[in-house]
Amino acid sequence: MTETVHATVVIERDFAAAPARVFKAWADPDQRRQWDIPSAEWVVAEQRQDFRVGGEEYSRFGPVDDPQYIAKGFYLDIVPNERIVSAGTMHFGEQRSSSTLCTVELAPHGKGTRLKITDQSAYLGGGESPGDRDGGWNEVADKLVAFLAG
Amino acid sequence: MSLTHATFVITRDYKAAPARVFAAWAKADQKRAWFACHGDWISYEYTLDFRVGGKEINRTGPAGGDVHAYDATYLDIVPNERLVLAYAMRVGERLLSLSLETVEFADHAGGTRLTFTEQGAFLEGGGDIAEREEGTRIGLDAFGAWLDSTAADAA
Repeated sequence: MTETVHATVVIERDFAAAPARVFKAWADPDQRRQWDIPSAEWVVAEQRQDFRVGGEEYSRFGPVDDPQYIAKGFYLDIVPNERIVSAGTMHFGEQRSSSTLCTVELAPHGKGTRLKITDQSAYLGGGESPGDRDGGWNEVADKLVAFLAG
Repeated sequence: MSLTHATFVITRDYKAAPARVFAAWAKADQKRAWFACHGDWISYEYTLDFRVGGKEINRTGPAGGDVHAYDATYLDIVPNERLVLAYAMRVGERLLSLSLETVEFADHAGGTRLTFTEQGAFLEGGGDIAEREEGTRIGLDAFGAWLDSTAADAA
C-alpha cells in the first residue's frame, strides 16, 4: 500500500512594494523564473506559464548538473493583485511525489503588501515530506523578498 | 474577498473488495450512477476521462434553479489504491471552492476501507465548509448503499 500524507504549509512575508508589484512577480514568467527556485545553488532549466484560468505552468529545476525536479500545474482562479490559486503535481524524474493546491493571497499592509502562501498537499510516498515543502517555500519566499528589494 | 482553508477526512468501510470499490470511481458509467444523480435534480452533463491529466465534469441542479458545476482534473492514480484530483465547485457564476481530493482504498477485513481527504480553499469566508463535509458524508453513505445494491443484483 502506498503511504499518503496530507499536510498544510502556510508561509507569510511582508513587502514594502504594493500588491500590484508583488502580483506582477508571479504573473510575469520572466520575473518569476528569477526568484521561484528553492536554493541558491539550484537552477531553473525550463519554466513556462500560461497565466490565465485553465492555463498551464511547468518548471524543471534542481542542481545545475542534473535538474530533475518537475512541477506541473494549472491555474484554477486568478484575481488580479489579490489571489492566485493553482493545482499541480511535483515529480522527481518520472516519479510523482506530491499533489498540491496552492493559494497565493496578497493583501494591502501599511503601504506595502502581506503575502500569504497556503500549500495544501498530498505527499504520495515518493520521498518528499511536508518539512521539505516548508523549507522550500521559505527559501522561495526569501528570494522573492530579495528580488523585490533589488 | 476572503478565503478560508480547511481539511476534512471521512473514513468508510465497505464489504466489497478494493478492486470493486475502485472500479466504481474509475468507470464513467458506474461513477455517474452514484455520483452524478441527486434525487430529483436534473443531470445536465456528466463526463469522466479517468487518467492522469484527464477531466471530469458534472453539471446538475434543481429544476429552474442554478446549475451546480463540478470541474475536476486527475493528478494521481494508483489502480485499486489511490486517486487524487483537484476540483472547482460553482453555483451559477459563483465560485464556491477549490479543492484537492484524495481517495484511498485499503484492504480491510475482507472488504475496503475508504479514506476521503478534502483539502479545500473556500471562498466568501468559508461558510460552505460544514455543508461540504456533511454532503460528502451523505454521498459516501449513498455510495455504500449503491455498492450493496449492485452486489445484490450480481448475486
